[in-house]
Amino acid sequence: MSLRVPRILKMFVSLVFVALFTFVVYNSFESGDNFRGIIFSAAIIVSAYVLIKDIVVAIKGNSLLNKEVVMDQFIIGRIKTSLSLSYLYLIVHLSISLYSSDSLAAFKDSATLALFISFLVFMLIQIFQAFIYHSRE
Amino acid sequence: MKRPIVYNNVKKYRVLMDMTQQELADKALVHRQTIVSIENKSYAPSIEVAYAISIAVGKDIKEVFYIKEEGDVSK
Repeated sequence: MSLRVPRILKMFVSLVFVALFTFVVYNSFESGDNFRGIIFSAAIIVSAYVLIKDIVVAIKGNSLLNKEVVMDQFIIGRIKTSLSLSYLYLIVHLSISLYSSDSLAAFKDSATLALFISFLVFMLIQIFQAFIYHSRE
Repeated sequence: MKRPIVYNNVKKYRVLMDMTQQELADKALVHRQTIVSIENKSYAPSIEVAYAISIAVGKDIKEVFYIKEEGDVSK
């Protein structure tokens, strides 16, 4: 099973994310959170560089409308790995907080934190796998 | 019984055909990262993907993917 979309659509989605995170950077600097602004700026510079390179290559090769696989068994496998580990973290965190929280309010706070950290675990494992499988052309 | 390990010549034949990883991925209908991982020998593809890659590089599957026995796992 593989999901294929036109290259131009994939680039447009990437562009939307770059624009969204540019807005996050603007807000961070406006609210005085310079550290977050700098971190996100670095991410945007790298993403914009990769995106521009992809666009130039696609225009030169006249392949903007060609379909490209964005999801196959290998990519699904990577997502499954991240999901499994973040779900495992969520279960452990909620199990501990279920027995240690002495009020519903404390449990709610703990559950919110657990959801947030399990999302971070998912993202970190995705980044970790990207580094493992990374290779230059 | 010895455990078989699958090796491949994907990179060799891709370079011989003057193809980029993206071009091979487009031909074999897989993601570029799949090609990267197969070339780095960090991922063993399914039989369908192995056939698709072999067809894309214009070779027989036995020329592109081959097995070497390594390590006795019968004990």
